[in-house]
Formats: sequence, C-alpha cells, structure tokens
Amino acid sequence: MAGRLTARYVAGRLAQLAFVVLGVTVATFGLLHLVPGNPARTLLGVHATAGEVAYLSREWGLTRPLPVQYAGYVGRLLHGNLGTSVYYQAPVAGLIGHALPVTLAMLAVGAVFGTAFSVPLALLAATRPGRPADHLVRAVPMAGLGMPPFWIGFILLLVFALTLRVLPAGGYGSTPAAHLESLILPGLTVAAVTTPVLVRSLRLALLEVLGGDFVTAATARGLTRARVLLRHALRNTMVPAVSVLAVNLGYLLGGTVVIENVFGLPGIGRLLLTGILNRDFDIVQSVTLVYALLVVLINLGADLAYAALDPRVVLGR
Amino acid sequence: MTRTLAAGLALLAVIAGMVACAPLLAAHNPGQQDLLHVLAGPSAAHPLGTDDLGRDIWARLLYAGRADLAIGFAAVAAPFVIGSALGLLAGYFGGWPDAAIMRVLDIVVAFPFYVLVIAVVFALGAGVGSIFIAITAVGWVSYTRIVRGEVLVAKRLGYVQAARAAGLPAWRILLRHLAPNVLSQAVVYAMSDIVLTILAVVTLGYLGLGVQPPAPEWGAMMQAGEPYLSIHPALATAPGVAVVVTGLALSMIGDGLAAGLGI
Repeated sequence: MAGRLTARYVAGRLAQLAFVVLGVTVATFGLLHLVPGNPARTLLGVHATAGEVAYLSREWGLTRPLPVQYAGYVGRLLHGNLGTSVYYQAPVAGLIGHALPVTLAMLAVGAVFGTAFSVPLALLAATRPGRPADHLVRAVPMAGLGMPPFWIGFILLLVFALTLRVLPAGGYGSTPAAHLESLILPGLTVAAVTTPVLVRSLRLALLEVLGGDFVTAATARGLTRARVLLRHALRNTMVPAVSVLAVNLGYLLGGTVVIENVFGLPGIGRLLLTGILNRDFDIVQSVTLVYALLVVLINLGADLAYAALDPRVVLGR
Repeated sequence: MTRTLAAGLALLAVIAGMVACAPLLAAHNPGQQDLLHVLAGPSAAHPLGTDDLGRDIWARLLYAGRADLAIGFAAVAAPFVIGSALGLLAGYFGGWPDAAIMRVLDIVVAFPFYVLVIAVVFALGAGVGSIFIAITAVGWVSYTRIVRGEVLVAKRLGYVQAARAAGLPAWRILLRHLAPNVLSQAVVYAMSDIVLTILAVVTLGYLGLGVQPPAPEWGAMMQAGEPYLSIHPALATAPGVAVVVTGLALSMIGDGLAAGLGI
C-alpha cells in the first residue's frame, strides 16, 4: 500500500495525535504542581495571610485529589476555557486569540526569507562540491547554530533601525502596511534561525539528487543547467527539506519566543514572557499548551502532505 | 584527526584558557562598580568600556564565560547518560519498554525546546539548579532517539548475536558489547547539544530566569545592555560574540569528530 492516504493511516495518525495531546495536557497540568510549596502561596507572595492562601487554594480546587483536579482541568480545556489572567483580568483564550495571528504572521514572513536565503546558498554549494564556495556555505550552519536568536535581533535592530533608520525598531503598528513593515526585522531574525538547519539539509539532499539518473537524463536531453537545477533537481529536494523542517520545528519554534520580545511584537511568545514576569500562571500554562498543539498539528499536516505527495512513501509502521 | 577537529579544539582551548585565566587577563574585578565612569567607551583601562554601573565589560565577559561554559558542559552530562541508557533499553528489549519510552518521548518533543525549558524553570524558580533539571527533563529525547536507532541496527549484527548465543546476561551485552559501539553518534551529537545548552542558559539569563545578577553571565549581560543598544551597543552585543565563537568551536569539533568517525 504505497503512496495513498488511506483511511486506516489517517485514523492511526489521529489516534497517536490524541494520545500525544492527552500527554501534553498532563505535562502542562503537572507544571502547576512542580511549583515548590503551595501554588496559591507562591502567587500571592510572602505577605499573604493564611486565610487568603486557603481561599485561593479552595478557589483553584487545590485541596482536592490530583486526578480530580486533572479531570477538572481537561474539562475546562474542552470547553475552550484556558483560564483567566490575573494580571490582565481577562480570559487567557481571548489573549491568545489576539496574539496567535501575530506569531503566525512572523513565522510566515520568516519562512519566506528563510527559503529565499537557503535555496540559493544550497544550490551554490551543491553545484561546486569541495570548492571554496561549498566550504563557505558549509560554515553557515556551524556559525549560525551558535547564535542566540535575540542577539541576531540586536544586530539587525542596530543596523536597520538605529543606524540606517529604514525600519521600525519595535511594536506592531496599527495598519496592515505597518504590520508588514514591523514584521521584516523579526522575520529576518526567524530566517537567521532557520537558515542554518535548512541550508545543511538542502545541500545534502541536492548532492544526492544531482547524482540521480533523472538529472543525468535531463542534462543528456540538452536542457540548460538552470532548467535542470530548478525544474528537476530542486523540486525533488523539497520533500526532504520540508521533513527536516518539521523534525526541527520544536527547536525552531522555541527560538522564536524570544524574538518577539526583542522587537516588542504582541505575539504568543511575548505573552508567555509577560506571563512569566507577572507570575501569571494560567497564561504560562495555556501558552505552553498552545505551542505544543501548534507543533503537533504542523507535524500532522507535514506527515499527511508527505504521504499524499510522495508516491514512494510507504504508509504505516 | 581532521583539520576541522584540530581547529575546533584549538579554538575551544583558547576560549577555555582565557576564561580560566580571567584574573590575569582582566585588570578589574567583574563586580567592582565605578559610578563616576558609567557607560564609558573603550579605553586603555577598559578595553570594551564600562556598563551601566561602571563595571569593566571585558572582565565581566571573561568571568561570565566561566559560568556559561561550566553550566553548558555539566548540564549535558545527565541528558546524555539518561537518554543513552533509555535508548539502549528501548532498542534492545523492544516490546513494552520500547513503547512506553517512545510514547513519553512523543509527548516531550511536542513542546518547543525553549518553551518547555522556560516553563519548567519558571515553575521551579529561577536559578542554576532549575536549569539543570529543566535541561535534563527536555534534553534526553535526542540521545534516546539516536542510540535506539543505532541499537536497532547493531542488535542484528554478528557480535551481538554471538554474545547472545554465548548466553551472556543482557546487562553485559548492553554495557560491554553494544554501548561502546553505538555511543559514537551520541558523542558527536553531544557537541552540538552543548551549543544548544549554552544557548538555552544564555536565553534563560536574558529572560532573567538563569544565573542571577550581579553574578556575570552572558545572557544576563545582554539583558542589562539591551536598553543601551542605541548609545552603547557593545554592552548588549559583545557577550553574543563570545557565545557565537564558543558555538563555532564546538560545532567544528562535532563536525570534525563526525568526519573522523565516518558518520
């Protein structure tokens, strides 16, 4: 059974997804109980009276057995209740609803820049294996992987916003044009995080593909070098490149949390960090959950697309 | 030994040497404030200038390296040991131990690395101890994946089959026969993992969740320097250069090792 999205494969994949999501909720629920001592005491601070702590403990149901508390937590989640922010005095679901599009827009801009950087670099290296250009491109992942994402943000801010003054230094603006303008530097930073990973995998995939019979055949048919590279070779490297991106998604997405903070973008990464700053527990718990769901869903999408698009993929394990 | 490996080791030796000899290379104490000379530019007395409290940036950079390198290397040890052991068990025994370990792994990898580390450190309270726990809780998965994959291949090979046929106990096959043969991949990965771990420590420091001020740490220095980015950029950017150079050295060692071992 090769290369078809069978109902059985999709069902199996969804069952696995359901299990992971359940496990993720156990983990985010457990976070609250990692807090040493009584979470209510931690939140209220050392000056709270015993009565206040007891009241909040009852309010949160902290006096009940753990399994009962967990069931209550999952029940709330199923009703779309992600908790209430103590700091903003607002439902967390609404806060995330406002912030998530900003994060997704930043990631989309980053993906565009990342592709625009990685593809030419990988082509340059793979067509000149062992030559100086190849060595130079191979140094990109080595230097790039060690760069703190927020530091790359500093450098870009310094150059484009503070020295050249061509782009805004932070914030998100109020019009779609301003949104897009303020996403350029964060997007470039996201690209700087993804490019090392992408260049490395694209180069290897291209090297493999360029030795393939169909490339030799295309060259023998007298097609131009550019056409062979772009239409034949590059197309066939997209599937492995996308799956490498999906595997590294957790790492790459994590790197974007801090980027929003550097540029003052009101996305879920910044929401998470303000939640941490204000010890706003429901925000930390729910944003962590949303990040995990994002990874799980994008991976599901990548798997299904992979299975549907590549006829060589054999489904099932 | 490849040229990349040699260059990486040399670079790391220079960095480690500079950090270890910090008292000799820096004329000032990293905590010594000089409120009459805050945010000063580079001078003979202060090669990189001074920070917002008049402390010598060069001295703080060197002393901070001690914290970041030490935590980065030490924090990788526990995930390496735990992750590799779980990978050996899962790969060798298969069945329910494998299923159980891999299902837990599925859940951990569902979280973006930094998000889970940040959330765990937040829950446990900022500080070095929490960093170790968080990185161990999140970092073991890569080693388990790598070692399990290697074991699945190796256990079909002659030397493991022979050891089994000879009736050796499972622990002996695992420790004496399989482990030495399957761990090289994990060791190579550990090099890039140290880079990721140092980045995590620096990121936590930047967020105020890591090494607590006034102790010098690269991430915390960058956080302190961020407000002065437009007037005194060295404050926020110099520690990043130190991180990048350290990361480059470790990546070169990893790549060189991989090439040398033919991986």
